[in-house]
Amino acid sequence: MSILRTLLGIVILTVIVLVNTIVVMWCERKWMGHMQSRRGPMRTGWHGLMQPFADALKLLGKEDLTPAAADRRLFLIAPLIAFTPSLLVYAAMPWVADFTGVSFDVGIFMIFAIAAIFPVGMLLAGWSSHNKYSLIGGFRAAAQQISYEVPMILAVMGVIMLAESLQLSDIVDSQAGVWNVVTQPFAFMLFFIGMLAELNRTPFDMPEAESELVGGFNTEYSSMRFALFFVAEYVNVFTWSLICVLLFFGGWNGPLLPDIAWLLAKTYLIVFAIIWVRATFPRVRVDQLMALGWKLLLPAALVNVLITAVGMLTNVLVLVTLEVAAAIALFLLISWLGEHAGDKRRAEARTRIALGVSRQAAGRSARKTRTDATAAETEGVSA
Amino acid sequence: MGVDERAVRADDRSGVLVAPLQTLMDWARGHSMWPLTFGTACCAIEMMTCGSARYDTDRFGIFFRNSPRQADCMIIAGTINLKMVPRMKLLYEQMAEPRYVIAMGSCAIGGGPFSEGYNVVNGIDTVIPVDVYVPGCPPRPESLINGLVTLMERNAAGELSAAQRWALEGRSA
Amino acid sequence: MSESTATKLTTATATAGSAVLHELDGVFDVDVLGPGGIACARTGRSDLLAVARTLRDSYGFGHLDLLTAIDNPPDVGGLDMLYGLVRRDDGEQVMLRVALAEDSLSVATLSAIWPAANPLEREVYDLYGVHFEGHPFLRRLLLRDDFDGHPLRKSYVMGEHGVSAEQVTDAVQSHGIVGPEGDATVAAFPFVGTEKNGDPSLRSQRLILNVGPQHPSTHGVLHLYLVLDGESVIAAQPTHGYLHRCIEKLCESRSYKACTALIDRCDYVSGFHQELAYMLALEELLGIEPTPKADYIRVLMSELVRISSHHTWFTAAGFDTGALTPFLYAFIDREEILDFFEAVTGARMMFNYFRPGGVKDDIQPEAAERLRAWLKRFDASVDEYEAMLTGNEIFRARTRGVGILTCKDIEDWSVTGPLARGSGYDIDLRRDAPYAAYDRIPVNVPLGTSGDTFDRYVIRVAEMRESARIALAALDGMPEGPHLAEGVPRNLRPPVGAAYRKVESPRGELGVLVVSDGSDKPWRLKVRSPALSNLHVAPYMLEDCKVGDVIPVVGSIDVVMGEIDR
Repeated sequence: MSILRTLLGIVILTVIVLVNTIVVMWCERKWMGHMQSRRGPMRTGWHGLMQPFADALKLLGKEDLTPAAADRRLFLIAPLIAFTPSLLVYAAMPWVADFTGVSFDVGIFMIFAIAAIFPVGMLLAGWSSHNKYSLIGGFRAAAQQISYEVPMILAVMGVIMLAESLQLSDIVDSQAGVWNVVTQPFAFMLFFIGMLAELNRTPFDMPEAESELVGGFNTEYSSMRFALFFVAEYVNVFTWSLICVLLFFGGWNGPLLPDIAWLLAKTYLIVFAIIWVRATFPRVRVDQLMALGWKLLLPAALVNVLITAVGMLTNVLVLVTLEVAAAIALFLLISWLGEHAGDKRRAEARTRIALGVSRQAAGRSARKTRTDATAAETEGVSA
Repeated sequence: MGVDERAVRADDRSGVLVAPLQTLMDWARGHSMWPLTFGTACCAIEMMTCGSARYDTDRFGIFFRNSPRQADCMIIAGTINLKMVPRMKLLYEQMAEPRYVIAMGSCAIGGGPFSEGYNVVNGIDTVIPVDVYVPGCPPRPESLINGLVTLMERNAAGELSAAQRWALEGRSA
Repeated sequence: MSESTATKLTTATATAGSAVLHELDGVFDVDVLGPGGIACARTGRSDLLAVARTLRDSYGFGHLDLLTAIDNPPDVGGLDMLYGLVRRDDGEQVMLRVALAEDSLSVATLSAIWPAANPLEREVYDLYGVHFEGHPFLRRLLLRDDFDGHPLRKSYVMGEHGVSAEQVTDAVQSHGIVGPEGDATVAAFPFVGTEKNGDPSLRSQRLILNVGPQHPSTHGVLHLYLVLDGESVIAAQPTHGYLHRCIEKLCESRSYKACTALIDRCDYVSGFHQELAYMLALEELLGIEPTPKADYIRVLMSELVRISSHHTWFTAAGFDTGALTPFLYAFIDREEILDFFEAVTGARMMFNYFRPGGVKDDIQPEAAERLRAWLKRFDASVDEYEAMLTGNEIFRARTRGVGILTCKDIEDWSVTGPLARGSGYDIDLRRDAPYAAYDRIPVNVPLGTSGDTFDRYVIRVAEMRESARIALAALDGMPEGPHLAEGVPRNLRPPVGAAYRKVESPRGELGVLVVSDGSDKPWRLKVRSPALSNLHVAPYMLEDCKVGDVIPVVGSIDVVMGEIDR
């Protein structure tokens, strides 16, 4: 009986997740479309609502190719390794107060641990494809994973300290009064950046990097195996938005409406933010991504732990003030770094270039006089 | 699955299980088309324009993919010369079945204004099977969209692709 | 070419250039053939290197502008090499001609003096079979390695229906690469990067990456051969020819007017510039003056097409760095321009609109009004799409200090256009050697300071605004009168001679050389492609770059393969 119940739970959860995934896919194409002053899918179902179904079904019916030179076994299992954890995390994910698969004491770390398997799939895919683009994409995925997992989990430490629990339902309950995004804005900022990197979304879509690496790790994948990567990516978008809501936006807490409505509404707000970023930002370079992760976000996450500790020793007001100040400081720092990116190299270049330009100076003054003469002529004509 | 098997199945639509599945698949293929971003010449600029806000191919479920493995159809947008033709063939072979080809512009159809030249392939349909020809030099974006939609409508009606017809005729791509 | 077909280049007044050549006459065996708009001298094969070096070092002709060949009729045999040099200080041009006999089609390479000669000589080797002594990498540039013959020779017979089915079958079965590949080829590349210091045993294995010819962001069919050490670029070599469409050869069998249609398709993003350069050269040969109104219309069209070309580049600038939205914003405005082109010329891209002596049709008042309104709000639209990239931290981090091009490289590699101006190299033909109505409309030239990808971006955006201003000035200042000169014969038969005219295209100095033998078809039509020279400097810009930089840096060159391969 209990096995049946478990199976039923798995089926229900999977259906809920996949339906949401399809909605996320549709949202991405529609919202991106409208942000780009076009309409997105219109012809397949009401405003293209059936578009993801058509895409998925069509992919199912395509030929499954394995490159001749590929490491066949790894090539075939890599998509499964990438896809499985994306659903597996829901085992520990609380939806509303009493709708949780398995309520772990260390729920949040359980989720992080399972989610960390995804890049392994990407690495395997990149390695086994026997394609140089895939290889570079796979390696980038692995490097990116290490650089961002650490600051992201450290950023969550603040939340865990406030809730004094690793259990997600406890973390949500601790936000019944004030959401963590108010008391932990700095942590939220770090978490959101880390989350985008974890999801391989713009501006951190290095492993795919369409304009550089064609398709990155999934270049050689077709048919259902590609669909698995594709779906896993969007499941992850939904998953991490959900986690973000549970950690920072009070989970299912909210007045009037039922819990699940609040949860989904908040989740889709985060999904919207992720899509918004994709429509707005270019992509960072791989070494810049590393530098950002290790040199900026990691120390910042440690600072956040410190601030939270100070806040817990004093009072909430101090905590909020410090957190907001730190968040503004980080924002200004990143803006300043962007504003002055490459200044040193540009200064060097200017001196190198100046040597060449001086040879032209004479010619330029000669031309100036000629332009002046032409201008005078023109005036003469118009007069 | 091999080409022949599918070709036979497309003709025989009476099966109890296969027929509804085939109908569903035809619907999917009629509503989702991922062309490969493969532009060689002038036509490529118009192909690009197809994705822009005024024309927006996304409305029809047309979504450009970069990797031939994931693409359904290849738009030959521009002149193909002797240096390019092996690469074009390779890209075609890298695509997964069922695959379609659209010859966009007079160069791809028949060499266009360069057909007398010493280096230009006079029509790609001597090398790979072409499903839809979109004439023009270059064709307007509307023409290309019409070509793509025609291809999708054919799929929805369960018609054979050019590759399948070649296979039935015994021609090799 | 024999004396009877075409000997003199152009028929304008004597210039400083011809004075220089006369001076040289005493030193070398130089036969001054001028006087002409471009002074031209014949020099012996053995003297070429010495003459070229003197011209560069003592007279400041630092830019190798043109390097091509003009074939003689098959019964005469042999061909002439033609070298065009430019002095940047005053824009003066000279040309050198070297006659090569049929039995010894070989001449010393200029690539030691101007590296820019490297790809240009490869092109002549490819199309004419001239052997360049001492060339570092003499290999076919445009055609397949296994191509049979040198097609631009007059003695080359084209098949009646172009390429035969057998040729296509053969081509499909082989990649056409003859000779050593891999490391042996890499050894001939200009190595740009340096493997980082340290223990050689710790270095990783080199990875050779072929980017293109089908790649989402190689701007057509460019093929980049990259040598990587991890994510760092060690060496790069652009390979092209995937869009060689025999335009120059086909023009030789078309009437002068029919050539315009082919010329349009060279640089398909800015067809008007291509047409304009051809018309200027043709008019010079024919001795026709375009009407004043036509001059203004030509300026208007050139500037509009420059904006639309920069829109295409802007799209690429976004895509290359991973931003998707700039494309959609820029193309909304591009469509407005194309609407205007369509209203006036009937075509969106392939205009065939300029005629000897003017333009095909007048501009309708309604179209002009609509355009005027659009031009007036254009600045605001540029603000809008600049807001997505210019100030964006990530975009700045990706482009600033990346892909630096120095003035030495610019001179060595004959770089022109926004690419040169991004490094503060102050050249712009619209101002320096005005053509059409540019002498009546002042042109401001935006200049960069650091020569990196970001500066080139800033320059092009500034050029878009400037072009809109010039277009508006041309529209407002347009005189009344006919748009086409009267008395231009239907069948054009220019007198024997040659003319070479350049215009400032969105990619740099675009030149067209027309050689007439007095018949109704050009004897030789050569397009000087700015993007070809600009592209081959890419390996030097990729110094210290990562894989992710390659595409934005090459994208900032703004290549159009149609014009490079022709």
